[in-house]
This record gives sequence, structure tokens and C-alpha cells, in this order.
Amino acid sequence: MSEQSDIAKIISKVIMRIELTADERTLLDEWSTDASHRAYFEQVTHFLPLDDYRRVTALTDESAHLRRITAQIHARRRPLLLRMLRIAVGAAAVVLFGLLIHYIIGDWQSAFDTPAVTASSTEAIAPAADPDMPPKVSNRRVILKVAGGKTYSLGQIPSSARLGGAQYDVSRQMISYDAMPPAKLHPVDALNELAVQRGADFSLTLSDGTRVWLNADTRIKYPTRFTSGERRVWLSGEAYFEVAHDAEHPFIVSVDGVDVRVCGTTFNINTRCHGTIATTLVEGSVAVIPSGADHETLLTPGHTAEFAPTTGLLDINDRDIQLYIGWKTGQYHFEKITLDDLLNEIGRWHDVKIRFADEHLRTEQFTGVIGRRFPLRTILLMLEETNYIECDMHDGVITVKEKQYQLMK
Amino acid sequence: MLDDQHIERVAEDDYTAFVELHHALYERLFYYVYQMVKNKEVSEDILQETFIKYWENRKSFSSFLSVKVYMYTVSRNMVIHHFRDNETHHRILEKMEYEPILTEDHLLITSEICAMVQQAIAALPAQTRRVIELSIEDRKVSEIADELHISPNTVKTLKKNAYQTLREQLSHLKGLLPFIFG
Repeated sequence: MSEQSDIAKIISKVIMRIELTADERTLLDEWSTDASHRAYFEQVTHFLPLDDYRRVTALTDESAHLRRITAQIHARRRPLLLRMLRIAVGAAAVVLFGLLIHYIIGDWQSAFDTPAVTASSTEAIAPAADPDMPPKVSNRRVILKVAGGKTYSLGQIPSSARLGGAQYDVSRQMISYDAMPPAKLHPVDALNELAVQRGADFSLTLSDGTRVWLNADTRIKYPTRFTSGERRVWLSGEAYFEVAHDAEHPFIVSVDGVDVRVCGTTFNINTRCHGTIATTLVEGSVAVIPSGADHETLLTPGHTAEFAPTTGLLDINDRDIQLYIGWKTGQYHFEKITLDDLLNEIGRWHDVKIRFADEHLRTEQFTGVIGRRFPLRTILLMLEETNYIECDMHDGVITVKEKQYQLMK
Repeated sequence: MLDDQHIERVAEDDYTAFVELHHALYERLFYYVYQMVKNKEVSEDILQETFIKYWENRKSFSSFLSVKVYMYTVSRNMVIHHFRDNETHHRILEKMEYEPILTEDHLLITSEICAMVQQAIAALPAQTRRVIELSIEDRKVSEIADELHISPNTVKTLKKNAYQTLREQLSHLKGLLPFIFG
């Protein structure tokens, strides 16, 4: 085909009445021995369809075409993403009771102060995830601490097993507790603790049947069996609760600064919400009790209470609850959140660190939906598709900078 | 105009270089594909896939000519696939028999010539450009003079100057036209 390209140049020259070199003449003569080529040559040198060329090329919009290419290059997996979103929406509809606790914590790794004594001798660190693949649902970074201080790194345990009072189900990746554990083997109100580190998530069924989904970078402490008048758990990080109904034994989630009391209902607490602890009620009723307060604030469904521990102010709004509970159903909704907050959240899912090359980008606001299981690379490409930022990934660190190239000339 | 260094920039993930390549090749490839499928949307889709294929394989190329050859080949194959998948294939084949059109090779050459001439002419002053366009359509000097309301002598002068300009212009297009218009 490079021959056609050469011939095209030679014929252009003929059309332009520019003298051919000897080599060009030879090439053209050889080519023209073919009758159809000869006929074509006669035709095109006498009538170059330049007007036709212009008319045809005017039909299409080069800039729009380039934009489509750019979008497709930067979001190769979009059809798949849309499919995942639809599935996630379907799943959201069947969730009847739930509670999401979303709590901001500074350095969670160091807060988890108990050294891990694992089943094997060394603490395994999961290898860096493949950025082109959905994040692996890995339990290697999930640590269970049972009564007496013994800890298990769940990734070291190859099959389902009993760990203290807990039943570990390796295939469903969850820990569950029997309603009636053998009391003589374990203290009835022994506290267990589950730590889900960055890049992992996990679920838990408490002895009363309450189910808990734990996001990355989350810690929860709970009794193996609820024996007192209330069911109390302690949480830092982010979790989604489906609280088993029991009006006589209120379920209380203690986070730093707030108690949230439920009997059997659906709500959501987000303490990573611009420095506030946001409690969103989906269904039923919920009481928010700031520490040291002598009153409680009742929420009605569809409303969110945002409590700022530093000022003690409590504000109630009715924003879309998907913004608070989306992560649990597989889609992370965000509205006008800063790039700093957004990337920190993504960093938690994928266990990557974020570095801003252009500091002013931190406060840029973003709105959208991102699948919790999207490959990291895909998420970054979606962000880059805004044509505003560029993400560079190296050694588990994402460097964010302002986009340099000009798309259109 | 683009050269091999440009292709190396694309190979090094320079998206701006890719954008410039798109600009340089889009129209001629569109003409080439459109003349076969005669459908704007199908042509655009085929070229979208063609350019994306090149971007995905950008590391394999180091010369502008090889990229051009690749683009023509990929888009032609996609046209063939399109016809194969399309119900109207047989109707198109029948139509082609009644209306003998250019072969794909000749169509490619026409696209290339038109693109080169178009790009060279585009740089000329308006009236000179029009003279050249009509002249290329094999119109006589008197016809051109009538159409543009100028004297035949003016047409001759403009033509002469224009060809001189084009010759000079085209001779500077190193890389694309390495040995012609010299």
C-alpha cells in the first residue's frame, strides 16, 4: 500500500504540472502498464474530484469525531460500567433495613495498636493490586481480635473455621456469631474486634442477627453475645448496618462524639462528611445523641443530621440518601465533594496514596457516581475524562496534576 | 505537516501528537471510507475504531508512512466487515456492478491526491485558489475568466504564479512528500 502512496504523490505532481524525475516517470510507467491503472490515471489527471472530496468531507465534523475518540480512549470500559450500575441499583431495592456508619479517622493503621499475632509466623501484606482489574475482595487485610487478645489475620486462614466465638466463612467472606454460644467456653459478653484495612472490605453477622458491612479502613468492636438491656457496638470508619428488630433491646452504635440509637430501622451515619458526623435515616426512626448532651434528636426518614463535634452544632437536611449509603450497594455517589475527599475515599478502596502536584486541585468540586468495584485505572480515566486533571500512578502513589494538553487546536 | 518524529511522539503517549495526526488524516480517511459505505454515521464509527486501534498499538509504529498504510488497511478491513455483517450487502454489490466505481486502490490514491492538493491549495489567496481549483477540474482559461469575471490574461498570470507557489510550498513538505515537487 505504500506503493499507492508513492503513486498518489506522482499523480499529484502530474496534476500540478510539475515535472517528474526520471525515477518517478519509470515508476508511473510501470504502474500504468495495467489497463485499469492506465484508465484511472487518464481519468484522475483530467478530472480530480476535488469538489466531491470537499462535499464529502464537509458531511462530517472532525472536532466532534476527535471528542468521541478521546472519550472512548479515556473510558474504554464504559458499557461494562453502566451494566454494573444497573445491577447495583437493583440490589439497592431489596435492602430493607440498614445503617451506615461512616466515620472519619486520622491514622487508622496506627490506631489499631494491638500487634497482630497471626496463625502463621509472618504478617502477610497483600501484593499491590492490579490497577486494571476490579479490586480483589481480599480478606488478607482483615484482622479479627477475639477475647483474651488473640488475633487472627483472616488471609492466613485457608478454610472456614471457628475462631474463638466466631464462625469464619471463607467463601462468603464473613464472620458470624451464634445466637447462643456455648457459654462455658466463652465469656458471654466478651468483646471481639474486627479491623478491615485499606484495600479490603468484609461483612459480619452479630449474634442478634444484625448484619454489618464494613468498608475499607474500618474497625468495629462488639460483644460475641448481647446480654444487657442494650445492644451496643463501637465503630470507627464506615459501615452499613441492617439492624435486627428488637424493640426491648435498643441497638446503639457508638462513634467518637455521638451515639446513634435504633430499635430496628434503617439509617446511615457518615462521620467523614466535611468534619461532621452525618446520620441519614432511610426507614423507621433513629435518635442521634451527641456526647454529653441531655437531649436526643429524632430523625424522620429521608433526612440527614450532620453533627459537628468541634462546635456541637447539629444541622438537618434532606439530601439524596444515595449520597450516604451508595457505597454499600456498589456505587459511590458524590455531590459537590472536593477532589481531596473523593480521592481519599478511592485511596481507601484501593489502598493507594494520593499526592497533589497542583495543590489548588484539592478544593475542586466533583459530582457523580463511581462503582465501588471499578478497576482503579478505570476510575482514574473517568476523572481524567473531565479534561481537567491528569492522574499518574507509580508505586502505589497517585499523583494528580492539572491537565496540560489542549484538546483542540 | 507530520513526520516520523511525530509518530515517535505518539508512541511515547503524547496525546497532543495523536490529536494532530487525527487532524492530518481524518478527512482523507473519511473520504476513502465514505465512498465505499456511503453512510456518514457508519464511516465515522469505522474511523473511530480505526484511530483507537492505532492509539492502542501506537508503540508499534515509528514512521508516518507506516501509520498511514495501517489506517487505510484497518479502515478498509472494517468496511469489508461492515458489508459482511450488513443485510444490504448484496444490494450494494449489485449496485456496484451497474455503476463501476473506483477500485479500493484507486480510491485510496484519489483520497491521497485530494488531501495533498486540498492542503496545498488551502494556503493560497482566495482568488488564486479558485483559479487553481477550476483549473484542476480541467476548465479552460476562458471559462475560468468568465466565471470569475476577470480577464483571460489575469487567469493565466494567477495560474502561473499559483503553480509556482504550490511547487515551492509542496517542495517544503518534507516527510510526507520526500521526493516530489522538488
